Amino acid sequence: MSNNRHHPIAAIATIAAIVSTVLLPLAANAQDDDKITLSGSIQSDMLLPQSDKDIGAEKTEDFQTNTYVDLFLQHKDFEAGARLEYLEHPLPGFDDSGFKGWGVPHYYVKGKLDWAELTVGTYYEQFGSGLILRTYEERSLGIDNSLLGGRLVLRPTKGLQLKALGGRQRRYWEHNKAWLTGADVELGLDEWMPALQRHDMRLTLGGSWVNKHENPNDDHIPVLRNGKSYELNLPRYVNAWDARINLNIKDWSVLAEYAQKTDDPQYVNGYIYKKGSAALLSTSYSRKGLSLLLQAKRSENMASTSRRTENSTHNASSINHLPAFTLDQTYALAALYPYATQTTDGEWAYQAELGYNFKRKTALGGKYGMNLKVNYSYVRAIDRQFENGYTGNAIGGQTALAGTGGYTSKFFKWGDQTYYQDLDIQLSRKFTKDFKLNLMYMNQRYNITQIQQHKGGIVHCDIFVADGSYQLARNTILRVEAQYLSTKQDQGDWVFGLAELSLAPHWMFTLSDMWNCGDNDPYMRAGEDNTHYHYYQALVTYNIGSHRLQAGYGRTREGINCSGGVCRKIPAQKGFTLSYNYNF
Amino acid sequence: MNKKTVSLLFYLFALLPFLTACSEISENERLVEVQPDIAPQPDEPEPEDSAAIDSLYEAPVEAVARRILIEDHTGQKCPNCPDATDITHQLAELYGNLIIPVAIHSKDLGIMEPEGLGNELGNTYYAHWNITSKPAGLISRMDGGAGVVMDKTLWAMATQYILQQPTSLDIRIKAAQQKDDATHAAIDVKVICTDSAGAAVNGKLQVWLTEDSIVAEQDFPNGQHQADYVHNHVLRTAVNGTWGEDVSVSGFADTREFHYDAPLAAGWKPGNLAVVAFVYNDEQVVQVARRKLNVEK
Repeated sequence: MSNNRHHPIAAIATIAAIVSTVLLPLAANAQDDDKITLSGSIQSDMLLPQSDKDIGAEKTEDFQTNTYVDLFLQHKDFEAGARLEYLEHPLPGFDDSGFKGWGVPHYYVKGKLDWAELTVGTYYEQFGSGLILRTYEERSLGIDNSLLGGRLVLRPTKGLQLKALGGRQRRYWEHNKAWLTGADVELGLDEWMPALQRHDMRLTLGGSWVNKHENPNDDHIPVLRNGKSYELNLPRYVNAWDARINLNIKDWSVLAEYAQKTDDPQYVNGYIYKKGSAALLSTSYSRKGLSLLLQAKRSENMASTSRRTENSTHNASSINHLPAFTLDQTYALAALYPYATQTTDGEWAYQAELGYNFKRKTALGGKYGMNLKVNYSYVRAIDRQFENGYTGNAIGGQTALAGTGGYTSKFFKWGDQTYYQDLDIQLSRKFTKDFKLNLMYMNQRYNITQIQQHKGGIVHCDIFVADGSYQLARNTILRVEAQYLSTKQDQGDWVFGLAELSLAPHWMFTLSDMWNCGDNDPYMRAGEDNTHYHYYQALVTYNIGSHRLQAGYGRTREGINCSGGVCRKIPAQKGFTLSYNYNF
Repeated sequence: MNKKTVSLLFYLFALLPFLTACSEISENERLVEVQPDIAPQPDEPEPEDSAAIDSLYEAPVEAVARRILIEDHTGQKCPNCPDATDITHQLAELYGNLIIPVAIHSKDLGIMEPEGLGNELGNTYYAHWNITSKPAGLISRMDGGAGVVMDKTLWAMATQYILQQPTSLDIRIKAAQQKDDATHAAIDVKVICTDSAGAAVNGKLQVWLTEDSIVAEQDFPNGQHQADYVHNHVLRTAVNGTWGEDVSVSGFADTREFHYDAPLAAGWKPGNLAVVAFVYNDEQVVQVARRKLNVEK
């Protein structure tokens, strides 16, 4: 049974009651335009683990799985949903204290009118870019920080949307004690100003506010200073607000957003009393065959949790999300050093991205055209001048800062560290009717000390990828990847190869190997040398209808898995894998 | 919807933020001094010679204060672990030898023996307590409401709470490097019931050897590294097995005595070794004591 024995039973009972008393009778009497549809999905990832001393994989259980079953009932006037999660024997890396369990943690009922929507139960929400509120589910990272409570969305007139919500945030199989309330207004001014429409302009103004109420008496944070014993006087309320403006003129779009929050002493910021802020400016241009994105962001002390003592390294209790201005890479070696947004320490982040389509039947475009994509990201520390004699690097650490204002920071001044930089060039071209090639080069500078708390400073990589697919027959495609990562730091060079044979519409066979061919890590010690090992994988995938079944065997390297700048550390693993997905 | 309703809704939303208050805490109100219920204790000096050790070992039975065992799960590659060590030092400054810290090094964020301070014993305890990140501590193995494994920010609070709890046990230790065999230590441990009402105490006696003043590398935040960090009270070995042995006393002054002949590994410095003995049950560590290994000069 789960760590929380009440939620699953209560939720199942609630859902059963709703289904039996409300939905099924309605379904039975439904007219064509009044019918109830049932949809859902199953996702189950399983591992039969094996120990492997070479790569550090440990078998702790005979069978591990992360399994989710979603069910939705939909009607034009209402909607209900629930999710069963079975995480009693979770996959390696999902070993946070409290993660284990099973039950129905997600359940909701939503009533809908043309101009209003009321949700009761658990729900996900994002205000603006998420700088002050973003609750979401990301299974690959073990994140589900939904709110349990109520949410009202009103669209009383064209161009106006109002949201109000309240609830407590999910933390694994419990809900944190803090109450979150919030409101969001979005005004589409172009709906009210015909002059804007005439000039093909859309102007949206948005404003949000989130309040956290957390009883200061719930936590006693002792501080020992100069031989005397103190407790922190903690704030009962933390308020955050966000203002944004989004202007679209023909092919151009500009978004400016600023958020701020009041003093929020919490574990993640070392219990400092300091306002947080985030500013974001993003400009994009898009027309057929050409796209451009330029954006910049500055954040300072904006980590925000619904539990001030939260010490999870897995983003539990996180209220907000700061978007990463770096690409999420899909190629194995390009994703070897992924960036994690530095929400606590703050960062200056810049991104420029250009996409261009060389037309067909031109010198560069060839017979079928060619696509070029160039991305440049740069993330830098903000300036921080610490109080209390703390230098940010000093022995003694953050305990010296608890109860102080932490640090001061000049808005436009950079700190002395580069956190991340990459230049990414991708070319995609179809050479013949049957052959397509993607080429990629990435130059990367990765501050492994800041991002992974691992010695080594800046890791400088050059990464080369060639990805070709060849249609062998009408239903048969062979795809081959070759990748090379070159670096003098950390674990040195890596090489990766993959071959994937697709026999449409049902079968796919994949073989891959990642080999650490470098030997440059000066910090590796005897007995811990993990270089020169092969991380091989063999996968067979079978698709039929909405079912997808994948079986495999292989090794997975220890590393961090990131999505949108949010990461989870995954240990080395080896064994048989089975994955099943079904949508209905 | 008519314009009037829309306007009303809009104004109601605009007022929402005012329904809750702010909590502005001025700079000089952030720290509230609290008086610990247990007054700060001066650190008693270790007895210098075998006669003084014998005298303490054989002293009349009386009620004693409860001492705290801090099991500090730490690692040389754990940048935030020196913070936790700092907290144990501050607690020791406040409460003297009522605080008995033991630094348990293991594989996670550590360096294993012989290059480092991690050992299989540390790995076993780390796995047993299902610890997933360092630093992490057990404060007399008492459940603070969210399990026995506590984040370092809770250690001071837990310590202050446990120090107020009475104990029915005294533990006395006599430990010396053997005169005729310098590779072994003779360790005597007495477990004495001090409960005047005569209540029985059942549990397990665990005896560990720890070592102070080990100069070895240590990581710090932001990639800093110190090659000559001084590591204290590092767990070296369990003298009577990983989980100790049964002990039971009932009635005032009821005493059980244990004798051990503990081998000393070549790399350890006998003058820096200490014996830590404690009695624990399923709920907590009932009492703990520490005595430096007496080395004939």
